[in-house]
Order: sequence, then structure tokens, then C-alpha cells
Amino acid sequence: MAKNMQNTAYRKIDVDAFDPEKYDENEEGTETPGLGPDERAVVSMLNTNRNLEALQASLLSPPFKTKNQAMKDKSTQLVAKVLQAFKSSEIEAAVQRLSIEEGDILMKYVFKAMEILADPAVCQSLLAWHSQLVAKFGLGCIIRVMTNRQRL
Amino acid sequence: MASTPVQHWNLGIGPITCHAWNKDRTQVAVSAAGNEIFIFEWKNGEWVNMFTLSEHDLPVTGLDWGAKTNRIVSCSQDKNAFVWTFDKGHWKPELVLVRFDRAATCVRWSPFENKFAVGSGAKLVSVCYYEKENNWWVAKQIKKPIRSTVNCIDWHPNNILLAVGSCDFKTRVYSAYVKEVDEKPSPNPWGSKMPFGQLMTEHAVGGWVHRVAFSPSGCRLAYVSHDSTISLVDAGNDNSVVHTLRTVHLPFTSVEWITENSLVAAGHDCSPILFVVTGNDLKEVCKLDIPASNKTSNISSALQMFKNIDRNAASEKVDIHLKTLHQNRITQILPHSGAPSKVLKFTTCGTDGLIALWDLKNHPGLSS
Amino acid sequence: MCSKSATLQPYLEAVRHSLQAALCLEQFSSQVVDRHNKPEVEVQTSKELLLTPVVVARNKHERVLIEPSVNAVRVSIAIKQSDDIERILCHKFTRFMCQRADNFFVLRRKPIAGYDISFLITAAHTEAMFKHKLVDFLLHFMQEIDKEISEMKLSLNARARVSAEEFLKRFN
Repeated sequence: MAKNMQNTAYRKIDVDAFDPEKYDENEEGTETPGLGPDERAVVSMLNTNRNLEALQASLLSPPFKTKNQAMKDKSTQLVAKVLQAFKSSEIEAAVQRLSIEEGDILMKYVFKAMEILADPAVCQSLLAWHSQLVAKFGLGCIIRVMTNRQRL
Repeated sequence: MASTPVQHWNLGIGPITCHAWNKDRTQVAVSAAGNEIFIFEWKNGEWVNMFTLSEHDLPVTGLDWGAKTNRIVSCSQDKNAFVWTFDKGHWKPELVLVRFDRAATCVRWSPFENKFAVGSGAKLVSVCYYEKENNWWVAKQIKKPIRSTVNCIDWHPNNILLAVGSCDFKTRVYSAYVKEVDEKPSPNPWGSKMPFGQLMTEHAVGGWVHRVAFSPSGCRLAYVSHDSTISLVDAGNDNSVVHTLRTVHLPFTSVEWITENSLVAAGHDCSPILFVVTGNDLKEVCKLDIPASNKTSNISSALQMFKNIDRNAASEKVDIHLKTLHQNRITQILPHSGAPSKVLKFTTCGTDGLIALWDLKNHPGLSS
Repeated sequence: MCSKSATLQPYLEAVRHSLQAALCLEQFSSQVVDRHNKPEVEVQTSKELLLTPVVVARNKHERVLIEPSVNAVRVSIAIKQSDDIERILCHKFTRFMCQRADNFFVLRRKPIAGYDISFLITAAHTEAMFKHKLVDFLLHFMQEIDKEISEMKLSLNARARVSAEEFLKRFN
């Protein structure tokens, strides 16, 4: 008889994790390093009232690939800051200027910002952006936030 | 715009997962959420249930009716596939050795109907053909490098190539050349060396691939995925380039070519949508479902209001119906009449239990 | 108070749209255990079948977590609780409902950590019921539970006042 019958730890091993056919999302392609938006440039644009430019600049090179959650959160906070700089009456016009790719990225930031910055005032502006994005890009925009494997 | 309303029938069997037409479109095989396959025949202006085939013991996931040989192939979550032949007034099942250890998800006859392919949750595709010596259907399997459940398959018109869409965010084209039953394939835009199981091309997709479809000529491949996109690969140009169109709609579950340059896609938005290929790009043309909102005039609104109060205990006037014909997800599109390169009518089935017949004749979006 | 109600409508709309997108479900049999069909969001055995969870928030206390997967969606709601009484009422109320989860079909017996009540909607539910009505139901529930709790709180306070008065009358 085997000696280590007392040791049942082997029963807890997740054998499925060792399946060579198992899908592994980490091995997907690694194009676009994505170091996050250029914070200084965005802030300077905000300070000079170039909100739309700041928005588009903040959506550049989103930090999807990095494993560093703090860096991702920093970009989210930056985008949230830019979004709050808009008056509620300006949001619709700004959304109209975005391409569908930018819309998808912005929607990701909006959802992430709601998750990590639960301040009532911030949420109010985020919800306004959310509804304008849905009006322009439809529910496809939300679906792509959920389906996309490149997370914030 | 087509002014005649779209013909549709409620077969009264609950959510329809798939349907298949016979050659002259007088019979339709459908599977509801259960393990039975129903065969309906058009008799005296209504669909009559002629046969109920219940050999599977878990929900049926795929059906295909071979027009040339009048055989039905079915597959199910119970890991089996059956080939049904009509003999002396009965449908006779014949078990296929698909060798799956997970559910079968989809099945298609090859264009010549000498073999068929079955996709599975076991992360593989079985290509099945009839072995005369032993009198049974045997399978050859394509495994590598599929990493998740196979959702959909489609045959190239040349009877050799097989497109596979799966849950690992990939669409692949394989060679399914079986030397026992096929003639040696000639080179085509997808490649020239085609031993069985050869991976011809592979494309990354943003979501689970719900449906792949080769164009009538076989030069183009279209697929729809769960990120609400529709994509096109044109092997005539370059089979490594994908043109993806992000749409504003909910994800599509089905796509079908209606000419070499136009497609119809449908899914969770409950309405078929027409797309055209211009140059290399896909363009959305229009929804084919004309909302019936103006049909219900004010006459019925008072009645509607009381009905709503009665049924939903809602005091305000709420219309509980969607404005589309289908009230729930469309699960499949099938060509109905016309040639493969010029489909005139197509049918859709949905989880709302409807089968609808859409007429493309005189449709303005198709004038080109 | 005014600014509070101003965000209620956008909040509910955002939840509605996110639910509509998340509820694109289909029947899917397990690729891990044969002949099984389980909500993938609960078993969490295949990463590729789970989608990115999203949060819609109105403020720190009121938020909705939506976790979609190929054949089921888990929706968790955090209900506003501004003081101890509301906290107790909310706890009692959701507990009452969870214990009767079988009668509600889509209710989960145990809420997800950090939330007060969770729903589990599977592909079978979206087939048996209209998807848009399911979404309506969840939104209706979110509105009603707030109303219900503030009403209960009012009647509780009123009752406390009356009983205190009765009690104090004796000492007159």
C-alpha cells in the first residue's frame, strides 16, 4: 500500500489547469505596449481650455498590456479628470467628434472610473458620458467593453 | 421597400435553436429547446407535424438537411450525431462514431454531401464520411490548435476547405480533404498544399465567433462574433488581412451570403441587417425589419392600455412587444429560394418560436 | 436632495443599457464536464467564456455589478443604506427574499461579497421570458426596494414615536 494515504492534498490539485489545450489569455499577441496617455500634455491642454484635444490625447495608447494595476488606475483617473472638465452641455458635441475606436476605449474608462472612483459628483458626469456614448455608438459599445480581453 | 408583411409562422414548440429545409422547401426540420427533432410539412396552408424524431436524449444543437441525398444529419449535447434516411415512410437513424467526450455544437453537410463536419465542446471538429466496407460513418478529427468550444463551421464550395469559428477568439480555415472519398484538390486562393487537418489560415477575433460563412465563390469568408462586429477575409486579395466592421448593434449570431457582394446578419437585435462589400470594406445598408409601430394605430391604444393594466398591473401605457417581428434572439438564417449566388428569399428562426420568411425581391439595398 | 434625484435617471438608464448588452446569452454545455450545462459565471472553469465584469455606480453606496458570461449573467446590487435602521431593514428584507429565492427564479440565494442582493439570469431564463421584460423587472426592483426601505423606515419611526408617547403617558 502506498504510505502517504493520509496526505490528501493531491486531491485538491486543479488538473484542468495543466491541460495543454486549455485557453490561456496571457499568450495572446503583444503588439502596442501601451504605456498610458501622456499626463503632462493632457493636463497642459486642460489648463489651456483645449478640452476636446485633451480628451483625444488621453485616449491615446491606453495601458492595456501592462500588469501594473496602479498605472492603469492612474490613466483612469486622468481620463476621469478630463471628462469632468466638460460642462454637461458640451458632452454631446464632444462625443460626436469621436471615432468608434475612441468611443470603445472611452467606454472602458467610464466603466472603470465608476468602479474605482465612487464619488457622487464624478459619477454624475460619468453617467452623462455613458448615456451620450450609448446614444452615439449603441449597445455595441458596451458589448465591446465586456468582450474585449484588454482590460483596464 | 417591400410593402408586403413578412410571412412568419409560430410552430408552437417553444424556442427554436435551429431549422433545416428540404430540397423543395415543402418540409422543414426544426429543433426546439428539447431533445426532439420535429419535421413539419406544408399542407393546406399550414405546417403539420409529420414526424417527431427522438433518438437524442439531450437538447439538439445542430441540424442539416442534404438536398441532394435527402438525408438529415443532427447533433446534440448528448455527444452524438445521427444521420437520418427516409425509408418506407419512416426516418431511420444511423449513429455516427463522432468520438466526442463533450457536447456536439454544430453540424453541416459538405456541398457534395459525401461527408459532413461536426463541431464540439471537446475543442475539436470531426469530419465524418461513410465507410462502405464496414457500413458505418467514421470520423477523422481536427484538433490543433483549437483551444475552446467550436461554435460554428462552414464548408467551402469546393468540398475540401472547412471554416471553423470557436470560443477561443479565433476563426480558422482547415483542409478537410479525405482521401477515401475526395478527389485530389486543386490549388485555390486559400493555399495549395492540403493534407487533412492542414491549417490554411487563422485570424484573431474580438469575441466568441458565432457563425462563419464562405461566399458563393468561396473566395471570401465572413464571420460574426460576440463583440458586435462582422468581419471579412478576401482570399482573392490577401487571406491574411481581415476587414472588421464594428457595429452599434447587439452581437450577431448568424450571417449568410445572399450574393457574392452582400450579406445578411441577424442576432440579439432581433432584426436581419443587410451588409454590402464595396471594394474591400463592409458597409451596413439597413435593417430589413420595418418596425410595425405605425401599424398599431390609436384605435387599439385604449384596449391596449386596459390589457396592460390587467396583465402587468402597470398603470401607464406600456407596450410589452418589441417593434421587431422576432421578439427574441434570432438563432439562424438559412437561404430559402434562389441560387447560392443570388438568394431571393431567406428564413430566420428565433428563440421566440417563430420562423420568418423574408423576401429580398425588389429590395432597394440590393439594386447594385 | 435635488442633485441626488437628478442622477437617478441616468443611473437607471446606464444600468438598463449595460443589462441589455450583458443579456445576450445562448445555451452552452460545459466543456469541462460532459453532459452538464452550468452557468459559466458561477463555475468559472473556463476563462475564455467569462466576460469583463462592469460596475455602474451612482455613488459609493449605490452600485450594480454585472458579470456576464456565455450562458449566464450575475447581477449584484448594492442598496443605499444611510444609517443603522436602513442597514437593518435592508438586511432583513434581502434575507427574506433570498430565503424564498426559488419563487423568484432569477434570484441568487447568496449575494456576492460587497453587495446586498444578487440575481443569476441564465440562457434558459432569457428563452422562457422576454429579455426586455427581465431588464424592466430588475430596474423596477431597484427603484422599488429604495422606496420600500424608506417607507419601512418612516413607518418604523412613526411607530416608535407612538409607542414612546403611550409609554410616557403613564408618567403624566
